[in-house]
Amino acid sequence: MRVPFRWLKEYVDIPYSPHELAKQLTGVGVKVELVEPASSGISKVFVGEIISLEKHSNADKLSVTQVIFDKNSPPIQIVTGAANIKKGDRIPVARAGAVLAEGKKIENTKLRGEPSFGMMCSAKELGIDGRSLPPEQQTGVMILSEDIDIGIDFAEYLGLNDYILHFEIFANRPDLLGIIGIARETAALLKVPLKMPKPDESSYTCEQPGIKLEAQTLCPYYTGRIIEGVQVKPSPLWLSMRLQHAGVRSINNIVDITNYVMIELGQPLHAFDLDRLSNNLIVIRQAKNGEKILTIDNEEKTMEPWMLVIADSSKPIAIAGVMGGKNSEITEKTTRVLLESASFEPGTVRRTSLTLGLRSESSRRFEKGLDLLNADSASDRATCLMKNISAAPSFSASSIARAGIRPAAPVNILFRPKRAVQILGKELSEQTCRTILENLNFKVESNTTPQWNVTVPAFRKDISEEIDLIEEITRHIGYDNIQETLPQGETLLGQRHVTLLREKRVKSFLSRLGLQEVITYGVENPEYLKICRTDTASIPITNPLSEEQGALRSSLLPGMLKVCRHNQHIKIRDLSIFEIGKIFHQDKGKKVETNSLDILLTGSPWGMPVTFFDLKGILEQLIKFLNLHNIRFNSISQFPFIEGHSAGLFLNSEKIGQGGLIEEEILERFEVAGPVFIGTLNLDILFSLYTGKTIFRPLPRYPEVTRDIAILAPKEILSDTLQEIMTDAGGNLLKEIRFFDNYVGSQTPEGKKSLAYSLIYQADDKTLTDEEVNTKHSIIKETLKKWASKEGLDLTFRE
Amino acid sequence: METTLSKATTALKRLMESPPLEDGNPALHMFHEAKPLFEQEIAHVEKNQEIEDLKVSWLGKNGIVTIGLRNLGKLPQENRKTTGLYFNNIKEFISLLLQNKALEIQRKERQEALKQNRLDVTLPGFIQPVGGVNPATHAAECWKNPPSSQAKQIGGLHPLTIVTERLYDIFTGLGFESAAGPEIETDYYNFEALNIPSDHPSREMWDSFYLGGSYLMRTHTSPVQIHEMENREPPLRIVSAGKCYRRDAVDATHSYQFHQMEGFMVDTNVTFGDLKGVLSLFARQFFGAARKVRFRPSYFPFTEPSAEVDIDCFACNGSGCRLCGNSGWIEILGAGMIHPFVLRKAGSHFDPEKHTGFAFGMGIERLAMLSYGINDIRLFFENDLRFLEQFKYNEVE
Repeated sequence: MRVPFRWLKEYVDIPYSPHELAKQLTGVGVKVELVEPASSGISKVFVGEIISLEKHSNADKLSVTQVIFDKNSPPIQIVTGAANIKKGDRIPVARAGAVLAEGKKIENTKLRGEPSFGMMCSAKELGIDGRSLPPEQQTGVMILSEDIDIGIDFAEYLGLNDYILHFEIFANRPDLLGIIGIARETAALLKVPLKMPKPDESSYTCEQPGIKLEAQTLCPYYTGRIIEGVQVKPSPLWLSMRLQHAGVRSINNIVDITNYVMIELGQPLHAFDLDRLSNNLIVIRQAKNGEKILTIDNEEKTMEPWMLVIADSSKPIAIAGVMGGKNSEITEKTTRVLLESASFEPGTVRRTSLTLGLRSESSRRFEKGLDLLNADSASDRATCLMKNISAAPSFSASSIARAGIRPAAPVNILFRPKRAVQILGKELSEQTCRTILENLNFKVESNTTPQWNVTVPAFRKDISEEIDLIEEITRHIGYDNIQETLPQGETLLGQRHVTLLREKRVKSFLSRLGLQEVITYGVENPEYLKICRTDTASIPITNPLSEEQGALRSSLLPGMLKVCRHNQHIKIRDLSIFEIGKIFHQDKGKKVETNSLDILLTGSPWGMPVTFFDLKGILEQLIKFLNLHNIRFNSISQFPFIEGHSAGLFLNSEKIGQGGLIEEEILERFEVAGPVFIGTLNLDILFSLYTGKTIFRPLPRYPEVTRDIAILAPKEILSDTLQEIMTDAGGNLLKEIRFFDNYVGSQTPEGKKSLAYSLIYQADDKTLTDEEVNTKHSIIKETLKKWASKEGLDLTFRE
Repeated sequence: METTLSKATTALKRLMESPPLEDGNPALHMFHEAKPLFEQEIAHVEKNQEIEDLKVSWLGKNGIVTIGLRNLGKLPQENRKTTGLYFNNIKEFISLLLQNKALEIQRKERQEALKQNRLDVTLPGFIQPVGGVNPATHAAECWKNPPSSQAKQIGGLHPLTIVTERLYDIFTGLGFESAAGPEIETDYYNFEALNIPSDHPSREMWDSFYLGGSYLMRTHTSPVQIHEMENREPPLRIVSAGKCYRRDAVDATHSYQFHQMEGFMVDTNVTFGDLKGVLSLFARQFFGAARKVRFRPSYFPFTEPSAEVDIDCFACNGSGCRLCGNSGWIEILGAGMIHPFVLRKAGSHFDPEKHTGFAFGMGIERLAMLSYGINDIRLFFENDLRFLEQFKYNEVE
């Protein structure tokens, strides 16, 4: 909310600069985001009166004028090109040394031989929004009304040198959506009295309107009054300037007054042209299905039956609390006004404005919940201003016609000063508490210490329990005045959640292996999920902003491929990346989150093109890192992996992950160049198996002996099968089998491959002799042979 | 996702939308009769040579389309332009289908090769040496032809992970333990239990992605507070970081996905002074011991009194600059004393008369942006390697 500093000062004496006040108010929770000069520093502009006007002898379009700034001083000469001036007009004059909007400087000059000692100013040159001025003044010089004294500093008069305070109003403080609310807080801060505007007593001579309140729950309180004999014209300058500084456009003197009172008191008002209603009856009712209304900003809106409208006997004339209708708006012809000041149910206003896409200064206030006691005084204040500003000689007003409930009894809260001390951790005198509360308009009855009875002022809808009062006291003591302490309680073990800790360790382990972590979006375009065939059990988002957010991701794959695409576009083709994140699916109506890990390899991140075995190496290392054993890699046939180039990771019979080469058709859809290898692990399962602890194994005391073995076997025999047979046959003495070669080529017969291993023999209790090793090695070979002949396979050893 | 096939579909669409042709025009005949014929022929193609043959017979010197184009001159003047356009569109459509077929055959050949060359997936995997030295090449070769970027071959953590870890480290040192929470929440945990009833004006602060029923994506990490308190006895000191989602349009400072860290402490006699003490320690650990810390009143439905925490701007030391919007201060987190409503919701093992506590929340992207000087939140989720690589070498602080 924008508040001109000078306007605020009308209600409270402020001994500070705007910047200092902003700092102090922010300190008590009335947050100022910005203090901004109202104009770019306009100076030396004074109000003058033209006492003579003659054509320039040397120029058709110029006039030579004499202007006075003081009845007793001689006039000065000003040459001007303005066409809209005449003798007797009051005009703003920039004198020598003046600075205008956008930094324009004025000096004494000569125009076609005639000296000129200043310049008459247009609205634009003074940084004033001239749209509500008469047309000739919008292009020409401003003509001022006669109630503006000559000689005065015009910039000062209009507040052009004022400052605008931009407040961020928290959602719980709708009472601060009027300058009076800010003034109340300021008064409490400065411990000075608040000067409320007092409307004069009016005489109520004309007849009240009729009010038919048909939807009491949506409109707890409605007031209307008739004002006759108004004259609609542009607002006086001071009024339109104030509105401009507060960020509201000037329209005409009636609408401007309703806006002025809204900004001042926080209570939105609406003025209808009474002569455009069917009669003097206002109906507050729910909209009819499909009922249409053209709003004052020329948009036709279709209403829904739960919305609230203000209507006359035949048609809707406003969307309650949101915006008025074109069919009843104030025009230059209006002479009779129906002034509405009401209280609408906040939720309905909020939903209506959201549904219709209509936000207004009015809806912004109503949707936060306003004090309905304010409605009467706002109506009185506006009536009084209309009498002063917009009255024709025949002006008269009715008294307020009311419908709806009278306000409920004020809220009382039991308050214990001791409790405030407990929360703040600071000793507080009872007097401090009492003063702060009273300055903020709370009524305090403290006969019964330690428990006080505090009455909440009606405008503080946000205060309903003791803690709310404690907050009031805290912010007015000032957060700076509460000392920093450290908690006194029991010392707690600051430990990591086990899953988070493992995630962290896996992340750093993978980065040790040369992988870069990425983080992609948890929501995904369903189209991408479909391409990856992971869409069937995915969870759709019901209100996405775009298709990009159509569903929760059911796999990390699309995100990884998009990272791949992005980097390939910028010519980074060597990628070794991973992501750890949640994936989502539904299972019989239940929504399931799974921690998942995906690894993507492509290009030559380590200098040579990556292969399946690079991916497998990483997965194996990770499994070892997690202290898991007996994980097997078995060939799988599963989309999106290419069979024969992919494997599932199995522990016993449970599949905990998979990895391999990705089908080209997917890559094409993602515009990714292959080959791309992806590995996926279910971290929830993996972590549940995690054994964690590393236990030291004593270092071997006796030397190891190595014997190599090269096996020529049919191509389809798996290395794992051979290793298992060797391991079984080798018993205790065979410590390790190290694979070192897989060869198919000119040296191998058709359909055969050669696999070579180093077998490491070692005993725990002695140095093995050659003979012992040879015997064991022969047994292993024999066993392999026997197995092969039993299986009907041709297996030989190469030397 | 534009493929040759989808280009062909677009070309066909363009063809259908061309200006209508009069009856008896050869192009019309072409479209009605020849198109299905061509499609039938191309469907049976299996070898590269067949594509070439098909190309010659349709688009070659004596191909139907070429003849059609050549004969344009024989048409009445007024028909030439539209018919010409028609034939050109047909030509483009056909050549795209041929191209697509060629790619398809290549792909099939590659697939066939892969099938022929099945791997023994039980062979052990291997680990490439980090640092990019190719073991098959002599070091001198590597120096002569260095890998495009050394950084690419050294792994690293995402900057958000690096910052999250720093946060966990600091709070672990202050006696906080870490907790995990779900990203899918119910209205109850995300709003109701946090003193944000439906229709509460402040719900606007958290525009949400809904999943049907009362489910939604969490808009903040605060629900973790409720989950942990429901299941545990005080005293508690807990922090929890993770993804959050808000239905915000994306720009340099907004993202529909971001990360938050939530923290809270509940015990007998936890005070606002403790809130200040702990968070001030944190702020100075994270941003440097020289920083000043300021607490300002604010509003959150689930804390009261609430505060926003600022540090004096580290770029200008508080004198005002672009980074701090000339205010001299930078907002880093929100906090407050846990609202008694929230304690009551957590269960009867919390007695708001006896137990008090404070909670705080901070945006991890914001902290990362501040501490690294990153100016666009979208960079975090684009995963441009040129961005990610900048954070590999300076985790030591």
